[in-house]
Amino acid sequence: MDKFLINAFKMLPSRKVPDELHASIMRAAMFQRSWRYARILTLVLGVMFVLTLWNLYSRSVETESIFTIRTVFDTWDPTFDSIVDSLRTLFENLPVQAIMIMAFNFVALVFMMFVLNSFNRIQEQFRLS
Amino acid sequence: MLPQNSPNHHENTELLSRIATDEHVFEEIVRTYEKPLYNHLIRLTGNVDEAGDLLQKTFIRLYNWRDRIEKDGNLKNWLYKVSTNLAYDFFRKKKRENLAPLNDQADDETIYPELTYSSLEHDISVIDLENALREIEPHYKNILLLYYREGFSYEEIAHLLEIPLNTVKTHIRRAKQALAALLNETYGTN
Repeated sequence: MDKFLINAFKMLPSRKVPDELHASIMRAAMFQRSWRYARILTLVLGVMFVLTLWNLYSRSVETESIFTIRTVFDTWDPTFDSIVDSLRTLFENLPVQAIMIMAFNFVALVFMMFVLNSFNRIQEQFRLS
Repeated sequence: MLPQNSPNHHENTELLSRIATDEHVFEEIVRTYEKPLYNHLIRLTGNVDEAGDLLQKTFIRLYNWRDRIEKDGNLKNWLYKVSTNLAYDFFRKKKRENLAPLNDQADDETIYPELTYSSLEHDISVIDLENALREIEPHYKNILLLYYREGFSYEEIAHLLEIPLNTVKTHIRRAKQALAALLNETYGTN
């Protein structure tokens, strides 16, 4: 009886895998590798950003420059000039290098976010194709 | 029944040990298993597009998990296990979206006529068999396909579906009864 069913199931037709599907699988797999690297890079950039931010904050506390901003915002009516003045005091007391690193980090992080978002969309495209 | 040119266990182990370092091994695996898996998924889901999507997801999972798969594991079993789980996810999603079962769920207490050789003595046409399989509950269909078409043993199916061996035997018996009932309806045999 089982042999009979085995023969019956053998009759079921088989289809060839379309070339596009095969190509799509290979593309999607290779894409996974790039995506993995992109995620790792974003994570590293995120950690660096937080560290630089923390570094800048500690320096501004050390030089007490952060308190100039606090003082401005503690008043009821901070004027544009007073905000600019306090920011200038803050930045004058911080190393330019650290600010540059943080700014670069921020831009790179935002860029990587876009890249990851596009990767997500491409991934969807692969599935639909 | 087994995939043409399907690697034996030793070759499988070798492929698995090289997959993490050699990109070409992945393509070799895809070429070997894509056709049997694709056809299994088409029969299981009854949908060519969905089968293609599930096939792609299966191989992407293999690619992403290639460092974590047991090197002495059975690649064929692993691939069928992953694709079956993905197909079950698809059935669950479909069921939620439609708010109705894909097929009439076979109750555990459902009594089907005993499948005997004489009850299926007609020459079953491929179309009738396909139609009958389409009507069967996905889990039963899967178990029938794995056993009769793909050639997995009871033990392998138990491992693959993570169910006890006796449950596999019971499910195969019930699946055969369900299939017989459907084919008998078609051929008008009692």
